[in-house]
Parts: sequence; structure tokens; C-alpha cells
Amino acid sequence: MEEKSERREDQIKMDAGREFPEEVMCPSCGKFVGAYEKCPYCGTELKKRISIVFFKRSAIVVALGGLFLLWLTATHLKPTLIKINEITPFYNNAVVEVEGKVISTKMKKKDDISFLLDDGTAELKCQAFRGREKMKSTGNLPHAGDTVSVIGQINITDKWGTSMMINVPSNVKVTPVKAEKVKIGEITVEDKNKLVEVVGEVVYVRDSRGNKFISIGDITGRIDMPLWKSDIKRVRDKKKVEEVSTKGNELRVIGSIDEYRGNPQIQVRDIEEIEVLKEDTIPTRKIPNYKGARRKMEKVLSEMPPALKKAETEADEKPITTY
Amino acid sequence: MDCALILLYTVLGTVMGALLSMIPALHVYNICGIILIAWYATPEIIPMVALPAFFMSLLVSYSIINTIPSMFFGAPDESAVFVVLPGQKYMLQGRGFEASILTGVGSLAAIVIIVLLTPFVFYPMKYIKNIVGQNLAWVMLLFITYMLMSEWPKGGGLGKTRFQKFKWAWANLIAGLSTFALAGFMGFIIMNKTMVPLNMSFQGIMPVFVGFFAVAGIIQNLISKQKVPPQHISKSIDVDGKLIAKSTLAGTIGGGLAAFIPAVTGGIGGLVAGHATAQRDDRIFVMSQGVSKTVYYVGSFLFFFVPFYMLSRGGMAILMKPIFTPDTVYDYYRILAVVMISGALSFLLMFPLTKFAIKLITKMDYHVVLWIALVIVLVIVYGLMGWSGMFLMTVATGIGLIPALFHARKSNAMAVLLVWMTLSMAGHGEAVLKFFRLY
Repeated sequence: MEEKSERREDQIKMDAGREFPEEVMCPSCGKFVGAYEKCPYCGTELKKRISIVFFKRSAIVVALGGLFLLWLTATHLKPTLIKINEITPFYNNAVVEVEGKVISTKMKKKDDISFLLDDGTAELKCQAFRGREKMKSTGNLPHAGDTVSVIGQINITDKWGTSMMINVPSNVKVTPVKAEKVKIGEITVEDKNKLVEVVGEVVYVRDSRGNKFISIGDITGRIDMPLWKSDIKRVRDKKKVEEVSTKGNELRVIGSIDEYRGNPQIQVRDIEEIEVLKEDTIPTRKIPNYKGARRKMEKVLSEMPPALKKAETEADEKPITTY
Repeated sequence: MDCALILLYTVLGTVMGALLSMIPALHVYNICGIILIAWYATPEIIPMVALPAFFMSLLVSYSIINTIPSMFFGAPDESAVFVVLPGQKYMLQGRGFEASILTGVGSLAAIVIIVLLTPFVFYPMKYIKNIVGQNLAWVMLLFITYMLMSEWPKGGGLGKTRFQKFKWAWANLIAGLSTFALAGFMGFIIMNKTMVPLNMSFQGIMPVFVGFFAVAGIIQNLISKQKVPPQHISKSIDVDGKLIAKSTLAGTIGGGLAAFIPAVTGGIGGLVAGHATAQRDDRIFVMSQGVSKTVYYVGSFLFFFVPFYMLSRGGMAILMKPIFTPDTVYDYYRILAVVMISGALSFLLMFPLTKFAIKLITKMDYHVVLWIALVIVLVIVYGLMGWSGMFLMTVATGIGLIPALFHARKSNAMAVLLVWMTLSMAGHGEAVLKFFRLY
């Protein structure tokens, strides 16, 4: 015992004028042990320090209890619904909810999707690197014209502007816009951007550098329906592409009306959505060749002398008189 | 004119960074967040052309000067933990000045390495990035596995009974693993729910890091009742070229990994480097941690300026992304010049600042400094984030105190970012969130 207390005194002397509280010194070897409860040098158990025990227990209680409260709060916390024009640079990394209409969609790689959302105040690019198939399987794959509510993380960069990263694909809720059922002949260029549903028979197919230029028709008319290479690549069922581009097959197509060289055409919303009908309801011989006839007529009219063209148009306008 | 402005703001940033780095528990990212808020309000205070240079010089001076409060007042950030442990040994021997300068030499060596590695960054790096980028989740999982596996073996077995021996052997191991698990779970919550005011989301993770490292570190130092012995200000340090080379190698590996892999910070990189190079000499350890810290902070921000890939790693790049895009390779060279000037200035400032710190702790109880730092940090968190930020900070402090008081590694708290990012990159984030009902 005397040896131990001598050792302790020596240790204190060695510490050159420092005075440590008794509780931080090992009573056995006299070394500084700080916050340890057992001396790491000789293994002597130290008189428990109230402050250390208190802080240890408090740390565990605060950590576990606080985390539980945090989790409870988080499970009930709904992301804030904001308008796109409210986003400032300080919103970077904020998880928020945005609602709006889809202007356009883009699907580049296997399972990604990005779409442009307009909530009436501004536009926002939303993208998910994963989850397109998941969205599709739950019926929440956004298409142009759909109303969408999306929860994601705001990402602001000087180079690419403001966008939203969708980390959880299930957080995309789509209210699909209803496609209007129309006859092909009723479609004009004034219907641009309208979402329509048509039934038509494949009457013309041309392949060009991986793109397929298809025309479909019913008894009222015919319309072009181009399928682009990038969209075709994403289709998993290649048989579908073959069926859709087989002459004589009848298809139910949903797409938005676009315009090309003065003529309306359908931009297919999703190739996999095209339904190949089993029943042949359209009589092939009754499908008009309007497009070809119109072009010929336009060519003839353009080559006519102006006076004759005027006489022709006046004759057309004159009411028919019966005698 | 632009060059003069850049030079002016480089010097300003260095001096400001050096002085603010002396406040324990204050992290450079917190300072930059506050400066950014002020800049958005009045953009004239820093011209756009000088903004990147100003922030880079803040970062460089922090990475070098922050060793001083870490050593003499406590460990404010997790990358400093490895500097402090052997550094504290030096400090307890009255050789704190020497240890501080050793890390400074390491930081200076890091600046040289960063300049020399420029061709590597521009050429082979893009191929490495393409390969690693697609497998980042696996790389991060590797780091997680390493962090957890390196918790074993632990010494132990002290006690009279078997249970006491078992308890002694497993206490800090369980503390380390629990810290990892709790921090990881906290990460799921804060990365998927904005728990702070929306207009402070750009610094949303700040209260958590303050709690894990700053406040927990201050409390740990306050209760340890450590006394600082008189310090000797030496006129030379015991190093040679071989020592510098060895420590530079170890530190560059650690800091480089931390700079490149997301969510892997200086402390984790330093851990890996320390084990990889198995250096035994305390001087090498202290110096390599200085290298690692500087390579990590500066390197991660420097990647942002490589125009081909503009990697955003580290908090500074994330803060700068919304306001600045490097256009040409000259942006990179310009910022490299800033790094060199700021690094040299910071190293020179290290001498008077270390002497000042030594004078301060001999003249006044350093616990007073810690209390002041604690108040500053609390005011910043409350002022920016309100009560929600304070709540997050409190929970994080509780978690951060576990490794501090049960003698485990504080770097396990980085699970707050690591776990969520790894799971999210691997495509399993949604399943985990669904399990915890967090979406």
C-alpha cells in the first residue's frame, strides 16, 4: 500500500505542476485515466464518476429515445407541397411535393424516366434513374398530358438548372388524362397536342435506319404513325413491334396529335400500350387513299395557270342551280 | 483586374479561414453556409469571379489550421480524430507545438502532391471514374464492411469473473456497431424527409454533423477534465525526407480515397490508409493525417473544377454547384494556383496561431474556450434551423457521445450518409424506406 501511494505521488510529481482531480487518477498505478472506469494500464476498477455514468446513460437514452421520436415524427410528416416558382437556391436537397401537368417525357436507358412538369407557375424537370418499370406496373407511368403528383429531392446546379430527383418511384401518383376516341378522318392539324385513341389497320410500313414509318387507316381516312428507333429499343417484347408493323393488323393506338409538313400524325404514347386487335372490323378495301390523292391534287393545282385556278375555285363556290 | 481580385480574395479567405478555424467545433462547411446566405442577400460582397477562390482558400486554411484547436481544445470534426490521438500524446508530453507543425508539414506536402497529380486527374482518372462509377454501391459497401470488420479484434478480458471479462471485451465493440446502426437509421430519416425549414435545406445535414462531432466532442472534453501541461515551443522538428515521403504516401492514399468516394470522409480514409501502410512511427502517423485531411478537403473540391466530369464530392462542391460551373481547363489551373498560395500562407500562419493557442491554454482554463465554442455552435444551429434543428442536433449528440464515452470510433457516425447512399445506389433504398414506413 505504501508503495502504491508513493508511486502515485511520484506520478503526480512527474506531471510537473499539474494537479488532477483524484477521480481521474488510478489509485493503483497513479496514471491518468481520464474517462475510463477501469484503468487501461493495470485494470484497477475506479471509483465510479458520477459525471461519466450520468453522461453514458444520458447518451444512450437520448440516442434511442430521440431516434424513436424522430422516426415517429418522420412517419407522420408529409413533404411540403410547393409551387415550382417558389424554389430558391436554398431549397437545394429539400424533399418536397409538386403537382402539375406532364408536358413531355423522355426515356433513355433501361429503367429511367424523366418528364417535364408544369404546375402553372413554372416548369420543372423530374427524373428517376430507376423505377420506370415499377411505375408502369402500378399504373403510375407519367405520359404527356397526365396530371401528376410527385415527391422528390430538389437538385439545383448552375449548369443544369433546377430539377427534381425521384428517389422513391412509388411517390409518383398519376391521374391519367382521358384519351378522346376519334375517327382517323376527323383528325386535323388543329388538334395538335390532343391525346386521342384511334382504331386503324396498318396499311403502309417503311423501315429507315431503325425507325418505322407506319400509316394506319379506317374507312374515314388514314394517318401516319412514326415509331422512333429510341422508343423501339426500349420495348421489351420485340414481338409486339413486329405485330404493330405488320400490314393488315388492326391496332388500337393512344397518342398525341402532332403535325409534319402540314399533315397531322400520331406520336404514339407508348408502343407497349398499342393493342393488336384480334377481330378485323375495318374492311381493307374501304380505307381511302386520301393522302396520295390530296398530294396529287395539290400538285395539279400548283401547276395550273392562276386565271384557271381562280375559275376553278369560283366554280366550286358557286351554288348549284337546279332548273 | 480579375487576377488581382482573385488574389485579394484568396488572401482574405485564407486569413478569415485561419482565424475562424481556431474556434473549436466550428466546421468550415458551417461557415461557408452562413457566408453563402449573406452572399445571396448581397452578391456585391464577393464578386462572382473571385467566389470559388474565396471558398477554396477558406477550405485550404481550415484543413491546415484546424489541427490546432483539435489538438489543444478537443476534436471538432471526425477527420481530426486521428490527428488528435497521437497528437494528444505529444501534447501531454509538452510537445504540442511540434505535433502541430508536423501536421502542417504534412498539409504542405499534400498541396505539392495535389499539384503533381494534376495530369493523373485529367487523364487516367476519367477511365477510373467510368469503371468505378457503375459499381459505386459495391465500393461503398466495401468501405462499410471494412469499417465494421476492423472493429475486431479488440483487446480485453480484464475482470475477475467471466462476465466482467466478456463485458470489458465487448463493450466498446458493441458501442462502435451501435453507433453505426443508429447513425445509419438516422440517415434514412433525414435523407428522405426534410426535417429543417425548407429554406435551410441546403444545409439540412448540418445539425446532425454538429451533434455527432462538435457537441459530442466538446462534452467529452469537458467531462474528461484533462489538464494541459506546459508546452515547449521548439525551434526544429524531428523529420527527414524519408519520413515525409512515407507519411505523404499513406496520407495521399487515405485522403484520395475519401475525396473520390462519396460519403467517405477524411477520418475513414485515414483509417484505411493507416492500416494499409501499417506505419508505426507516431511522427509518420501525425504527419500522414495532416496529408490525408488536406488531400480530402482540397481534393474533393478540386474534382469539381475538372471540366470533363465536374465530380461533386464533399460539402463545398455541393454548396457551390447551384451557383458556379467551371467552363474551361483554365478554371482548374486558376484554382490550383489559389490552393498553392493559400496553402503556403496557411502554413506560415500556423506558427503564430499555434503559439497563440499555447499561450491561451496556459493563461486560461481551456474549458472556458470549450464553453464559448458550445454556445457559438448552439446559437448557429438555432439561428439557422430553429427548434427542429436543435432537436436533430440533440439526437445526434446522444449518438455521437456513445463512441466518445464507450471508447469506440467516431467515424462510425458517418453511416448517416454511407448506409443510405449505398442502399439507394444499389436500388434497395425504397424497400428499406417501405420497411421503416418512411415514405
